[in-house]
Amino acid sequence: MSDEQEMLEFNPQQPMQEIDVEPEQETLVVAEEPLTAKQKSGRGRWLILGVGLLIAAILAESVLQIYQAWQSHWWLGALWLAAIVILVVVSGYWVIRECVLLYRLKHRRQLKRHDECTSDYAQALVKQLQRTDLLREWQRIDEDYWQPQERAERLQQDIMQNVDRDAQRVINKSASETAVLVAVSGNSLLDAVIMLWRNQRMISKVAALYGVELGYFSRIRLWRMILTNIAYAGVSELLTDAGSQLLSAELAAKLSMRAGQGLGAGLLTARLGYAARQLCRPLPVPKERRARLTDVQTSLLGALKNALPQVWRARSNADNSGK
Amino acid sequence: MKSTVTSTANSIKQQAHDALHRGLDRHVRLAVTGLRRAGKTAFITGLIEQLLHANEGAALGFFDVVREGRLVASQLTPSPQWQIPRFKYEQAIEALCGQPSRWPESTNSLSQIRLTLRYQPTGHWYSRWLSYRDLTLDIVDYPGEWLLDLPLLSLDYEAWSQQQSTLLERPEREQHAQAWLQSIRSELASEHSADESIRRIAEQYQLFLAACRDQSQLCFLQPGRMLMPGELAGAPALHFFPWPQQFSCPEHWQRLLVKRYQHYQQQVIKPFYQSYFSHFNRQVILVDLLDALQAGEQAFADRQEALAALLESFSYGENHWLRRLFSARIERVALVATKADQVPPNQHHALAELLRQLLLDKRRQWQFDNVPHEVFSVASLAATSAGEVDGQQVVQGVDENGQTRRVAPSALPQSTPMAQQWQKGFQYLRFAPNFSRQQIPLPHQRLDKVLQYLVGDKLT
Repeated sequence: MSDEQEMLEFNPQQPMQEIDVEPEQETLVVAEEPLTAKQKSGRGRWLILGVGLLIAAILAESVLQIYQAWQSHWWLGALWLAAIVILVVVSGYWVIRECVLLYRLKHRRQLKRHDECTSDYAQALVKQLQRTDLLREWQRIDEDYWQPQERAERLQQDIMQNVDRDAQRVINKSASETAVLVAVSGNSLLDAVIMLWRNQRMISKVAALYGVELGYFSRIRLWRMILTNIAYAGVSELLTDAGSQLLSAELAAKLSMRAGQGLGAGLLTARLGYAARQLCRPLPVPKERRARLTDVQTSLLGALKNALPQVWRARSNADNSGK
Repeated sequence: MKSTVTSTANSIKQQAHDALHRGLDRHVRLAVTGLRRAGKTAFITGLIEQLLHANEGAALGFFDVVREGRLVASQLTPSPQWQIPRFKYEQAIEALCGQPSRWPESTNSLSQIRLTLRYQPTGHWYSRWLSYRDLTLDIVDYPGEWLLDLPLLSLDYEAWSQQQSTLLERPEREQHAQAWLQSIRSELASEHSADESIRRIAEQYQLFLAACRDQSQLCFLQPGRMLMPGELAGAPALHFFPWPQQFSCPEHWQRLLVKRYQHYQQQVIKPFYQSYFSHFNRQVILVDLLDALQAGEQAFADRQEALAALLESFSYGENHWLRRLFSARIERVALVATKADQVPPNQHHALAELLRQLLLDKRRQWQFDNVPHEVFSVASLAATSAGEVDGQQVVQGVDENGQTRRVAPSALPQSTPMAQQWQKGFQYLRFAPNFSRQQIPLPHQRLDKVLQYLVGDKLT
């Protein structure tokens, strides 16, 4: 990648290269970095100092404790020692794993521009998916004469589409499950719990499909990114889907209230799923393949109708009896 | 007797079938256009090779019908025009995979080959009921020299002589023309009959054309049959030449020359044009830019002129069903810079850009007339592999002596080179093929994109 760019810069005969920046990239920008950086400078430093001191105190305390216990009985000392060693090892492992996973999430490779797609880079991207079959397939088809754009296109069509199909299936399934569950639950607290539980599972699955493994902190980070993405950058999507949303509002009015709630929950789940997909995918989703909520909506309505015919009909029956 | 009737009936049946297919738009007649040594034979061989092995590991990722697994099979089928020899695909492959491996021989006569692609249609209302459909692909191969005769159809003898005399003023042609001009002078003074004199001068003219081709590597040389006579070798039909404007022409010579020229137009070029060139509906234009660059400034400009002149002979535009049957037009053009494997992959873009520049005027016209066209840099049979040495991209292959060579060729200009670039010159190593039977399907570079562009829309 760097070679090529250097050559481009040093060669005065080459006219300006058109740079293919996907305008949709902007939607991926996450606006939380500067905030955390500012915080760190003030209170953060004191907090770290405090925590460090606390850990030092705990360590000193436990060493003293073990020493005292050892004085009274050797087996009591051994017991304490074993307990503390196990605790330290387990929590150390957890901390390290969290750090690694968070690091991986932050530093996962994503192809921002198609002309960066060299052979090595593309291979690293495929490796990141942690799918040996796809890696083997990629090694089979990759040709050394391809231009970066061509390689990116093949990567989209031959590799990513496979993963996308699986991800789409996961999203559709979760969305319709959530819709049905919310439609039958009838309790708002229960609704919230269902949403949290189903979405949590779906996002982990989608992330895992794209080779992103989630720990506690990385999960929280991903959630934050997804929500930011939906809140700030979903405007264009909202506009394109506005028609269908209006339609769905009208349609929901005809449904029973519960089915309408279910539909809304399902659509939200699908939207979360797409945001997760967009964030985890090593390549941006091409415009023509971008999933629209309208498609999901049809499948959701189908699922609701099939699973809960009585809920589906409830409203119209109520209307009839009212008259 | 009976067998003749049967075979005639069969032939008529086949032709009716073809007409039906043309009308239904299931028939692609591909014009493989290119000057001498542009890589026509290699292109056709590569194309057939990839299509025949499409389902046996050919790398055709950009050819949608193959990537989506919808191509059932493709097969070479007999062509209905029995008087034309078949394109020697098998011999070409044998030459490429032989011991030693060599390029197929360049074309010296006309040949044709027909491929039938059987595929599963998709996205049509009828695709649910149809398990497969066929697409017929006809490819014609012919010597590149003959192609340059086509512009002669629109010129009369006077205009042609004038044009050629202007060309003759250029130093790269003038240096070879002395013997021919001398022969005119001496024949004008001699007592020979007009027929005899003209034959002698025409022979000198033929030598002049050959010298221009072999020593100065020029391409814009007319009439093409003088360089590649085929069955016309030594025939009086070829005994004519453009009259140089510096001499005055005797009346009776003039009459004879005009007669011969018209005969050549009507009896040689026109049948060739009508039988093979008026039915094309897709075209691929092959240009060997590396050869042109290496040959120098004059040869480069000469190729540009030759291409511009010959592209005037084709008609472009959309086809409605009636036009498809009787006089098809070319609906889609692929501009291909061939032999891209001789430069490293990071220069493929520059190669395509240069071709874009070379055909700028024609492309502008196509754009105006709304004729779809696209530029590709292609290696029909890739004889090299790319590598990197000290951060510089190189190509590795085998040269004509069988030595493995690894070279970093001259950087390609992205537009027509300037004077100082010409002075420095361009150097490209001609690699020899180094294939074996185990490598079948033979490697290619970007043929799948060209295929998708040329026939992909018919295979949906």
